[in-house]
Amino acid sequence: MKNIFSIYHPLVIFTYIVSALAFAMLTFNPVYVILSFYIGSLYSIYLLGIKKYISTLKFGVVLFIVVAIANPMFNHQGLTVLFYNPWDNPITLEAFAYGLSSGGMLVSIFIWFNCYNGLINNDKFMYLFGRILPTIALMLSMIMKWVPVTKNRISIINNSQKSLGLGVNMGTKKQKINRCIRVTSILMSWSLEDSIETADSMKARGYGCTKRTSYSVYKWGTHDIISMFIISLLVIVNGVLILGGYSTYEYYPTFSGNLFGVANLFAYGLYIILLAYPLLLEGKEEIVWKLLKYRT
Amino acid sequence: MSVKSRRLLIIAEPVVMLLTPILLVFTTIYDIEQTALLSSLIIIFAMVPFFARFELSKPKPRDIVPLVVLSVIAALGRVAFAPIPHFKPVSAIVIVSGLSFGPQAGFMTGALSALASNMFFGQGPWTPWQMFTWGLVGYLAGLLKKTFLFKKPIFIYIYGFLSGFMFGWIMNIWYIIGFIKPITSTTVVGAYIASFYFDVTHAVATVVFLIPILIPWQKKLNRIKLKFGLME
Amino acid sequence: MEIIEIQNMSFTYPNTESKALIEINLSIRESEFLVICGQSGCGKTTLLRNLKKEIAPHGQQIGNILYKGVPIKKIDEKVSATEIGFVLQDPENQIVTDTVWHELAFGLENIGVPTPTIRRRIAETAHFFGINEWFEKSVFELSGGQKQLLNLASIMAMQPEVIIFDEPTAQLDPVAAKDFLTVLRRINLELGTTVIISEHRLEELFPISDRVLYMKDGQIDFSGDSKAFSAYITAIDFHTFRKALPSAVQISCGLKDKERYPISVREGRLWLQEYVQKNDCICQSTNGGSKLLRDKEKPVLRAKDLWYKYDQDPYVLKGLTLDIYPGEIHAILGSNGSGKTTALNVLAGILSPIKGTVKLKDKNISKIKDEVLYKNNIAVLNQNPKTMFVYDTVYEDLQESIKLLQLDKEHERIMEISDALGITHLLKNHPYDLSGGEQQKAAIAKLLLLNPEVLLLDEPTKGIDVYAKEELAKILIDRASEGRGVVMVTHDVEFVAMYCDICSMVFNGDIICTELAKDFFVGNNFYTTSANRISRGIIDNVVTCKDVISKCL
Repeated sequence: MKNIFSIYHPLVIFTYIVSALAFAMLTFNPVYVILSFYIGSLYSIYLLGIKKYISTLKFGVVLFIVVAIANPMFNHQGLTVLFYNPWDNPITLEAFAYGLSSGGMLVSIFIWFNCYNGLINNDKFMYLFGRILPTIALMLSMIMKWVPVTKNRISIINNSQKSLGLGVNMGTKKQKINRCIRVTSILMSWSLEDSIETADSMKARGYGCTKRTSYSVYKWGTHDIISMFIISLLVIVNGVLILGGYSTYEYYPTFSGNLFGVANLFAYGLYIILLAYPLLLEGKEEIVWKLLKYRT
Repeated sequence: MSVKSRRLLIIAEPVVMLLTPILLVFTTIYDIEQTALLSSLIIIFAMVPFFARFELSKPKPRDIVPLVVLSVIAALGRVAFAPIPHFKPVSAIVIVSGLSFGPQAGFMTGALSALASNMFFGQGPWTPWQMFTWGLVGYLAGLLKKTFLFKKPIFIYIYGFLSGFMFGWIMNIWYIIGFIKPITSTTVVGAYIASFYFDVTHAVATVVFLIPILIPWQKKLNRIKLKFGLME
Repeated sequence: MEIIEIQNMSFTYPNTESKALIEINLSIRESEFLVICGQSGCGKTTLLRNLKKEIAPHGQQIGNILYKGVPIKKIDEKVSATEIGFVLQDPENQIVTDTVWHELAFGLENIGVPTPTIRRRIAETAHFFGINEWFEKSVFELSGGQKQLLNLASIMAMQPEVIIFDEPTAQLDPVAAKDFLTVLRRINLELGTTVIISEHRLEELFPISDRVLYMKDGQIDFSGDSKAFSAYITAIDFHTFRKALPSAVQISCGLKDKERYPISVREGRLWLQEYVQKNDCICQSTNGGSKLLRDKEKPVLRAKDLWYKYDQDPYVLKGLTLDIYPGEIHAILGSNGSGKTTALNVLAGILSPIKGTVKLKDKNISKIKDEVLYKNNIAVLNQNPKTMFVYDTVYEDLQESIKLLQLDKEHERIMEISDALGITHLLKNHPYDLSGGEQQKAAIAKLLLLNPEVLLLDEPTKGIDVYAKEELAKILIDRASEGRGVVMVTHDVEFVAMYCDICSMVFNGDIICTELAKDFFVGNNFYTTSANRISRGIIDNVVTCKDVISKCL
């Protein structure tokens, strides 16, 4: 089965993806940035396909270039001067490298959000926040219910206004805007009036009469507990390693810090395991599956 | 909830609003490497008192549903106008909601429309920032309603125009403090110049939408409020 | 044992002088199936809502309502929410959340039931209602009938003792309505749940009800079983409610039988057979189907070979061809999803066909600008009249039409049309404060002020009672006699048989037949009026109760 990780308990998924996102924002160390970018890309492609990935990447690359160029243009710190711009300000290698690094970080954040969107659907999101913010989660669920209904209503109103000769697709630009607003106004009145019936239905079913429980279709299994434990452990160790300064890499005034010491390589290894955890799970599942098939 | 803790939360909202920029500046000055993450966390925590007060006030169904309807319309409006970047009706609708139903409702409408519309576009690092900023636009509209200025629609339009800039400027912060180093006046000004065109578009759009809907929508919402005894 | 006891209850809405309910005395037994009927505005909804404290209307209530001996206002909130269920009219608006499973759980969450119990209750309920297959679906994917079933199921998950229904099938098509009422009966029979229901579809409800309550002007006018009720109504000559009774009893009473009151079609057939034998009626009719003869008239609207589809979906219309003649009421019938509404929208020029043409008096409507097409030419009323109103009063909305045509004598024209449609007393009201039937009349008035040659209506009889239907029929007949073409898409075979001239049946995207209304129903087996089903094989060529009676006299 493809994407085995998505059937894990939402809290496990959430812990993983939020950690990946947080770590992506945590350090400008170029190796970490590159690792985050590569594994994020792999997982994003695995989850949502190459097409979606490329559209995110396109957007990311534009930002990347802007950041990578803008930083040395406006920042003149750093010792290694490459050349002087027309206003006689130095363009430095350090500022350029920092730009690359922060641009890379930006891109990997976008890519990891791509994975987030592939892993946490609205149901899971509402489940996760339903316990802490029950009213807000319920409102989100109501919004999700009303959106398609409202879309449908917009086309009904459009039709009926068209039959008064007031369709939104004709007339001058000013008329069009006015007609759009007219449609929205009708929509607002109609939906608001109807929403009162929703409120009645909520009250009739005892909303607010006691403390709500929050039902979910999700259950904790052994595999969830094991994964939760492993992910938490990895998060703690990696957090200590990164925040403890083992990987700090300085760009200004000039490059300083060790990138490829033994300790560093060990830290990178742990980082890879954390980020690639779901991919490793998928791999394991694939092998188990093949073996089972082979035996029978 | 006790009266005391409720009062505490009411005070917490403006305090948080003031504290947020200070904290953001603080993280910048102290040259912390993780500003991108930290600033996002600050924004998320800045919303906590608003949400907490809303949750603890145990809103009735009739207080909830109008906010849901307005958030849906705002979110769909954003989707509908997606082809024109930064030209969106969200702020205008959020302002009307804040004016009609008060600061709290204004905040909720703003934050929920941001969250809901991103459920279509995909969530991103901007989600909490948009939630906070649009929430703020509605919250301030609700607060300002009580002042003499907002008796005249023209000042509401001006507020709408300014809110477009406020939105863009707050959204810039994440980028600036997270990804530019070192921060100098040139880099900051550069970032704001780069976003100027979009901010103006947003500001103009807000006024363009606000002018035709402000008075009629307030009238419609008041009718509903009277007819069904909402938010009493 | 009484489960609900109402003692001397009166109710007055705020800012009104007359009472909406006057001294109601009623006791409802456990497991009873109680039908409440009466004209719109008789106080049914007010009464029903007063039985459910959470949604009781604001106003002054005197007297007592007891639930299991306890005043309703004093029952524990949790008990009230669980034990008394309430299903409202609109299937869409009642749904709170976005998925079926969440909706089923919603009520149980509210009363604080722990997750394992909820899981079990939901499973049980889903099984009983047969909704396992769409358990994981988003509510938007459901049909109207499924939505209403979900509303009922999510209340049943709370295991109520009483369920109150306020016109639950008014927004459903006949097939879905029958399915819904069948489930209702199952609940009452298999679980013993008390059912209190207000409805217009008495034909289906009478056979399964224990007791009928007839309300008039805020009072209980009659209470008894359906046969006694039929006797009560038919005993009074020209009682206005007579037309709302099941066809069988209308026929038997029309033929002066004061002893037996057949309710269902089956009883009606047996009764009629006996009657015909006893009285030696001459029931064989010689005149076969009359031909559609309209040589001299030219059609006002001609649709030829229309093809239409939405985006990537398969074709909805497949070569539909149809002529509309002036001075006729033309009904388009067909089941859900057959393409009726799409056909109407294409005929009206709202949707442009992918292939084929619609001609308005020899002019292709796709070549006419909207500004011209919808002035003095075509007008469309869609299913929801609310989409027509923009202003704060009906008057202003009507004014808009006149402004669109740039005509003078505004006030006179508005008063004229309001008189004709009987909405003069509503002109100062907010359109949204009107009842469904009134809203519809106001919307029609708005359209008629645009002086259309052809008036197209999408399901105009949906959700309105017999009286409103009769008024609507009068309006449509008047328009047709002015020489306009009237087209309506509908499910309502009884209405069509009584008032329409021509019938077209849409099936699978095409018109499969167009006939005179009477011939159409005579030729059908299932898709026909109750009167026709009662008389089939006994009396030839009759479709309405009136026909049957006149044949037998």
